[in-house]
Amino acid sequence: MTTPLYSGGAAAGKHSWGILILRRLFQLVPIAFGITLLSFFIVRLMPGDPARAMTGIRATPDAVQRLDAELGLGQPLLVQYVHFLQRGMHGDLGYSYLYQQPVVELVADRLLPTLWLVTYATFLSILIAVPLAIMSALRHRSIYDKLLQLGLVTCMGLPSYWLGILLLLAFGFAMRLFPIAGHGESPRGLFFLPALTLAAGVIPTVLRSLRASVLEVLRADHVVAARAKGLSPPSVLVRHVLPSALIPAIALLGVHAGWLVSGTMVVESLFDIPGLGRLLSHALGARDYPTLQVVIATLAILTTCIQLLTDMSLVALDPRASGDS
Amino acid sequence: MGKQNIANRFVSRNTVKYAAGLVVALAGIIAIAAARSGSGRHEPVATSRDDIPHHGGRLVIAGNSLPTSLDPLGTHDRQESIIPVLQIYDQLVRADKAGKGVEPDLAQSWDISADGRVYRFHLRPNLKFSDGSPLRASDVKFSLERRAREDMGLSHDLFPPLEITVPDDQTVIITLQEPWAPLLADLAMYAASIIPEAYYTSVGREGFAKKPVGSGPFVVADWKINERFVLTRNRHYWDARYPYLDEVQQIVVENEMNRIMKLKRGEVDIAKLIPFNQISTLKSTEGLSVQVDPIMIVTLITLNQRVPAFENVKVRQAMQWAINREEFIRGVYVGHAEVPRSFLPRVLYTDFDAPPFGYDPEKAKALLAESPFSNGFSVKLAILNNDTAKNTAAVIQNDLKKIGIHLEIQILEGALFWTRCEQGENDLCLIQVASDIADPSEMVSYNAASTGTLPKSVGYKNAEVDALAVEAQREVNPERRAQLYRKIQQIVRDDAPYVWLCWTSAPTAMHSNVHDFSVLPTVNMRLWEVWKSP
Repeated sequence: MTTPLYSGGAAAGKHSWGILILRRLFQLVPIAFGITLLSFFIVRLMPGDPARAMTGIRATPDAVQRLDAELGLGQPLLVQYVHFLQRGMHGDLGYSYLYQQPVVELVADRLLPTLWLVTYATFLSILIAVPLAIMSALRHRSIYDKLLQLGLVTCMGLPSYWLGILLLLAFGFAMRLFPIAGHGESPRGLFFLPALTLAAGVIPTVLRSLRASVLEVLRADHVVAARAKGLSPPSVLVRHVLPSALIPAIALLGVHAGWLVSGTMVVESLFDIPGLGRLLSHALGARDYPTLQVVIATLAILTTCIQLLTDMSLVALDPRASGDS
Repeated sequence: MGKQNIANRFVSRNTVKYAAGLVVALAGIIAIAAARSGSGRHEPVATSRDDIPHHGGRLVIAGNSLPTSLDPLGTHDRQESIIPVLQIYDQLVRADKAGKGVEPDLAQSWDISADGRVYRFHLRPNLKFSDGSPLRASDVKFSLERRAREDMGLSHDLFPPLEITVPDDQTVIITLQEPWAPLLADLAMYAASIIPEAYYTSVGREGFAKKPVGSGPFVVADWKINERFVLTRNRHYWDARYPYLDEVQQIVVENEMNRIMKLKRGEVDIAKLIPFNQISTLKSTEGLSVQVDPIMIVTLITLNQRVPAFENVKVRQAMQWAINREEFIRGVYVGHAEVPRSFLPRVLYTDFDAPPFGYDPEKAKALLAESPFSNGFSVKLAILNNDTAKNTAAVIQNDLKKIGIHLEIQILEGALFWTRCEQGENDLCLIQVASDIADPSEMVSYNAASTGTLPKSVGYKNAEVDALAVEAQREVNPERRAQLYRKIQQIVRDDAPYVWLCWTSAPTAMHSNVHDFSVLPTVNMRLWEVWKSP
């Protein structure tokens, strides 16, 4: 007799969580170290120097030299990295040349909008993908299903900037439902269009995977058995179909976490949201190395945290998946 | 009972319920989100124009960036910080609205010695900073000496060494080693803003940058970097007439179409830097008006003389004649630009008697034929990634093709573009050059004298221009100075180190109840003169 996958109880799940979290935290140390190393070198290997980036052709040779000296750009990269680490040990993560503020303050101010945006986008993608996937699987091969498939493929091909402008024009301007860019009164209204734009990049992949796995699970022995036992369709759906079907979809979401986080750069710029993505965009243009390093590292760590959360959800759904996903 | 039947059973019995549920859920999400969102301010748009300025009110301006620093020495010479600095600080003198000279600011009058080396400024009585503390001559000395010591930006090269003495609280004496004709224009610069010595000394550079104090018409009420910037009236401002407005708010809306949308919805009063192709649409929109202000900016293409063809002056002159500037202005700027007559922008001593740069492809071909490159050649044009640049490049490419010059267009990212331009690694660069002061000396230093950044990047060197430039900076007689600059312009025109395309302008859209807003030639604004009819 096949055992439904989800049974085993809360106790087993939580125990696996504990191990998972501990293991991940332990891994976070070398990961964070690697991230700071990478981000440090990548930004300095980009062509173009900060003084000219900020003032263009008007940069005086003195300004360029002085900035080089201040940022220690004349020294070998490894020496610069060691100094950066030494200062980091004392909590000094650098001083933004563009904004003339400690980088830590800049980043701390902007963390919340990006977190909120990414969370909202994840929430929206699940909220939209799950019902549509179920409907599509239940009406497998119908006209509705085919239309949805077409819609998904189109959506996958749309650049997010273009989609964002379209949504702004339709719902922001023409229908006046939402504020145009960063200045509405309420955070929820403010972030709906940006979150939707961000989610639109992830929804198609998640939806397709979920639809396929729902279809597969619908045919599984334990689902047939549950139905035969007399359970109502909604009950079968929620207790027997979804938990197994969600697993690959959530795994995919975890894989796309990086995409969601990096997508904030475009979405925040379009909707004028004062978050890390937009800070990254500006710091990039100005070659503001101190800011760039910390923002890149923060976004990378944020991505890792999202992946940890998805792994925890997977463990909750399937205790056998504890540890590595 | 087959497994297919289970799916069918779901479909046949519950589809409608699920479908309805889904639709309701989605509609619910949208409704909730919409209900919670802001509805935007709805300002009544006045249809009548008053001539008497109305005091009070709040102005909201949407631009594409916000200040990164409000320290006069921290602007990185960028407009987004320069403009706010000029609202919250005063200088000894300030640029006049025509951009051709200066007018009194903190100094109500001044005397210049006959040899042009000693300037004596008389400050207005009872000057105060916005925190109520008195503004004295010693603050002027402190501010100008701090600039000389610490500013590595543009002002570093524009000012000569100054010796400053303050015999009393109302008098500032500036002594130069040699006469320096642009001194007054230099003193109007943002970097020469006057700050309170006592306050700055007590809070330090970082503290001052976070909470700046000046004597200008506005004070900073709220400033969240790159989010929100709010100015309110300075009660201690020396000119009791100004500002008219109670509050000026600046927000950043990076996308230009978003700016226009917000303007149309009444969420902002002014939208800066609108696309040229939107000007006529907005002009004919009820309740809106558009202002197109001429500014001291020249659009040009640099000709790198490391490319063998561009070493030859006939080739460079050929390119000057090959561009149809009128059509280019019609197409890219929708007529809102001017064919230039000089390498200088529209500034003091620009030679308006010189003919505008002409279009004559036959003459261009003839000039080319006199050079070893009569069969044409191939070069690359580097541009920044924006629509105006791309459209301009396309027109240039087309014009040059007609005389046998093949242009390949390269779009480069900002920092990379500027670095390669400055180091002379691009064949041609499409750029805009601007003057910060109401005097031609800055443009001559940067674009014509061989020590300037631009001439160095292309390898342009003319000893006569260098000598004339130095002489013109030291010449205090206006007529003689005008003659010197006319000569410089003639020589540079003949040398043709660059191809000059147009004198451009700044288009701003606003509601019709906003009055007296304009972008000055030095690309800043006098927000204290702006008022709104109720």
